[in-house]
Formats: sequence, C-alpha cells, structure tokens
Amino acid sequence: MTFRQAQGHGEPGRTMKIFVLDASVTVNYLITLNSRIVAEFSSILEEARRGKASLHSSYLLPFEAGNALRYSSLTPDQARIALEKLSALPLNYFVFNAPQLTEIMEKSFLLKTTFYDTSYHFLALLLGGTFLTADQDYFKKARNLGNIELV
Amino acid sequence: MSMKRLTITLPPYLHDNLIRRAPEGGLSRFVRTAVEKELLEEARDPIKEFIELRKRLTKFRRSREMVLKAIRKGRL
Repeated sequence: MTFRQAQGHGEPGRTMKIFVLDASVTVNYLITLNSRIVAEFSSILEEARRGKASLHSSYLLPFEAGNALRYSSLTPDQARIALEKLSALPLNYFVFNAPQLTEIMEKSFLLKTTFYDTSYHFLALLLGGTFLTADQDYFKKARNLGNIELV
Repeated sequence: MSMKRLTITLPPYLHDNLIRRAPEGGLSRFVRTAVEKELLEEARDPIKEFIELRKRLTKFRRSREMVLKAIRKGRL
C-alpha cells in the first residue's frame, strides 16, 4: 500500500472513469443484503478489473474500514480476512497537503459534515472523479457539490 | 506433499546472495517461498477475490446503518 500526494487531474482526452471509495461502500458491499448496493458496486469493480475504471481513496480508508469490520458483528476471522482482501484491492491511496486540508475543513463547515467524510469527496473533486458512498446523510448534504453518487 | 527436484543455474552474484540469505538447512524452503510469491501472487486477482469473499461472509439487514455506526464507533 503506497500513498501519493493528492493532485488534480484534468488530462485532456482521459476516458477512464475515476471512482473514490469510502468505507461505507466497500464494507457495505461485503455484508449487505441490499441487492442494489451489490449490483452497482459489482459493476464498478468489474469495470476496474477490465481497466475501464480506476479506484482511489484517502489514506483514511483502511482505518475506517477496519473499524467498520471490527464492530460490524462479523467474527474476528471474518473481519480479519475482509480487511486483508479490502487492503489488497488495487486502490490508489492519497494523502493531503496543508492547503488541501484547510479546504476540506472549509467544505465540512459549509456542508455541516464531518471532516472525515468531506475528505473523500474533496479527493473526488480534485481528481475529477466520482465519490461513491453508501452514506445517505452525507449524500443529501453534499450532493450539490457534484462528483458524488449514492450507492 | 510429494516434491519434485529441479536443477537451476544462477550467476555468481545471485548464487552468493541466496546462500547468504537463506537460513542454514532451509535453502529449499527459502527458494520455494520466493517462487510461490513470484508465481502465485502475480496470478492473483484481488478484485475477483474481493467479490468472491462476499459470498463467504455473513450478511446483515440494515447494513447501511450498521456500517456507518461501526465506522464512527470510538469517535467523539
């Protein structure tokens, strides 16, 4: 797992879809009975397998996903293997510099959302991609910023 | 598990490095681990494994709320 400095994209002619994932969508996919979440996220995973989409997240993802799995009523073995497989996904992980962190803070105040959640959305805006989340509350508050899809 | 014998040739710099790094009496195991890593990890498809994993895990109703609550557990 390596981490990169978040930078804007915007390369002309780029056609590969860009998705930023958070813990709510990655963990939900594994344990949900909601067929819509499964179908939508499966489709995106298949696109990534075929090289038609790239997957990204903030360095926060393994920690939030780890906590979600830890307290999700899975057995310790299930939680461990789930985190192992999630951590092995071909995601590009990003860290933020000071000005970016400040911008995330401003947005989180504006949207009345947590700093954590806003950081994923900020990354999607920066990369010109789509933030995929299963967090309905965040989606309702932040949808007007664009670059977000509720799974 | 039955084993098959293999004879390989290595340039001196690799041979010397291998002999230096492999634990005493464990050369075969060291080489086996290195080959496994090279061959089997390359063939792995982490996305496919993630998708397959879903089939093996317990599923929950109201997972959306449960997962969000679990993510936030321990936070102020």
